[in-house]
Amino acid sequence: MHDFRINTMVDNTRTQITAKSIQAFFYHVARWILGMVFIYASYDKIIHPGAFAVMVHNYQLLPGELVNLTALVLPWLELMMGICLITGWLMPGTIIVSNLLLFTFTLVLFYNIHRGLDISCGCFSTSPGETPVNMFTIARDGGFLLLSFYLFWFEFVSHESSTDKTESPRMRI
Amino acid sequence: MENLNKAKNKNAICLQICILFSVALMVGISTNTLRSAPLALVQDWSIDAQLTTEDGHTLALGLDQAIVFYENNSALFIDARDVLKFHEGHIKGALNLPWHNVQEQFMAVAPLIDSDALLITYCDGNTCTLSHDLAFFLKEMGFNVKVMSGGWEAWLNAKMPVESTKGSDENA
Repeated sequence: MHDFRINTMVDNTRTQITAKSIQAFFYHVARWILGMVFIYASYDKIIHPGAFAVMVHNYQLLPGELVNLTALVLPWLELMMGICLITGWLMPGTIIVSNLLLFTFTLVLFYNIHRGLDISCGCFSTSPGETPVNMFTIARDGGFLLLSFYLFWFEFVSHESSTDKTESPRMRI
Repeated sequence: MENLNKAKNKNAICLQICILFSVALMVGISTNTLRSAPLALVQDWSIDAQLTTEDGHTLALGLDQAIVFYENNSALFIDARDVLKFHEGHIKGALNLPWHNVQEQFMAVAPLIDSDALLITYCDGNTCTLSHDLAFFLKEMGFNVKVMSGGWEAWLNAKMPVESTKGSDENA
């Protein structure tokens, strides 16, 4: 009886460790994918800020005074976030900004389709001939948002509910 | 940096967010000043400013003027919207040159355009800028181009002649 209890406890512990290892594995995969996506997205916009400013303006959501500033700063923010996600620097803050940005992007794309604005996404390219915003664009951004949500859940919710609060789950892989 | 990475309290997270935005702001603005042609931090994005060429001429054309050109048959209207929207309805006699496929479509449409004719581009309405981009593209190609203010929406409201792919005249 005594041995049975010990075995059960050991099995439960093993199952928990395995589950957490899998979660941690997906956490790393998600942040690397998202990091590369952000770096790739920033590249063309950093090189062509003027063309990106036109795209920001085409969304017709920002006042004219903020269009150029956004076009100059946003790509560098994306690059910073990409580097942080891949290296693991400033992680809680980066995950929050990533969620906010991707949620805003998805909402803006959806809003523009809803109001029938026929514009290029400007998500990865500043080329004027880029495919206009459509449901695929929203689905793609929604996918990135899900990855970002997972990072948020793992960083804040999963870690907080963990029995061992002294060790970061990120370090367990 | 390592301490920040592990911090989970609100202040540390706020600090991280501030660092991200501050670095992006500083690098974005400082690299812009190093460019050979830096982007102005504040720019006039009004329609008039956008449609004014480097030599000071405006490409903007009011709806009333566009109607006069249409009635005198002295201009060719070019629809910058996508093919589906064009098929649903367009200005009677207009050609379709979707901005999103302009490189591919231009060679097919170019033979139909009289090089001396006045071209008037349009798209959905005041919120649409495809006609602006198309106008500058056509101007680069050497055409005489104007952009109709208000676009398709204003044309419909003025109850001017339109047609669909079937060729049926709806408002004539």
